Amino acid sequence: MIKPDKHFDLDHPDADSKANKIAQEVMESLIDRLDGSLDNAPDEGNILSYTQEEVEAIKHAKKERKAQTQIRG
Amino acid sequence: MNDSDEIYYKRLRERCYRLSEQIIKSSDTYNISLSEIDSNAINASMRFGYTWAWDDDENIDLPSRFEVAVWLNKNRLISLCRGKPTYDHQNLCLEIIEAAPKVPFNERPSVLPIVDATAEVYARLIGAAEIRLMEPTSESRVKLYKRYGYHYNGIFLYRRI
Repeated sequence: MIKPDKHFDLDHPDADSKANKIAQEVMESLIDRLDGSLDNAPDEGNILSYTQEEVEAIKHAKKERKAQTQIRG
Repeated sequence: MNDSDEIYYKRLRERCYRLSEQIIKSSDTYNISLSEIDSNAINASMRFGYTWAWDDDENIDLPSRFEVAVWLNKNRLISLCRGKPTYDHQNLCLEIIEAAPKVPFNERPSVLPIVDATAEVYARLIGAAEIRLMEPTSESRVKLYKRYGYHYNGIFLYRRI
């Protein structure tokens, strides 16, 4: 597989307008998915805060995955 | 484009943060700023009261990694997210999205729209076509991500962009 080129040329004369276009598209995508406004973002409560048990589970899963990768070589 | 990979992607992330701040500020009353997961963010995360799931993450040195620390009023860390593109850069995989547990939800905005928008900006900057949320760990997370337009295949969630 070929390593991809650097997709976005930060020093291109049109870099600012291309970047602003991306920002506009992302904003529109987000608003589309949130029924018209960021104010309609779902109430996430504390769902995205990990408990200590979840942290340990993630670390364990990561170690397992790493070990499996090493076994497969 | 003569920058080394490390310098190029560092600049790209900085560009991503400033663009994403524009998006967030255009519609949110909170004072949000974004940064890399630098020593300030790591020190602030220590005040979460537990160790990070990704503190020894092997991707930390990958030049093209995605990472973002979300700050409220420039000094209160409210979210961390880290991920990486697949080798061909067609997909951006977010490994963990974490909100600060010590900040009550009524004192901060939802962090997912902020992280989601920042990830999409980065994905577009690297030419990716899909964002993946890896190992959601709970049904409630899966449900929340689906409300943002992600689809679940039983292993990870994904969204075409």
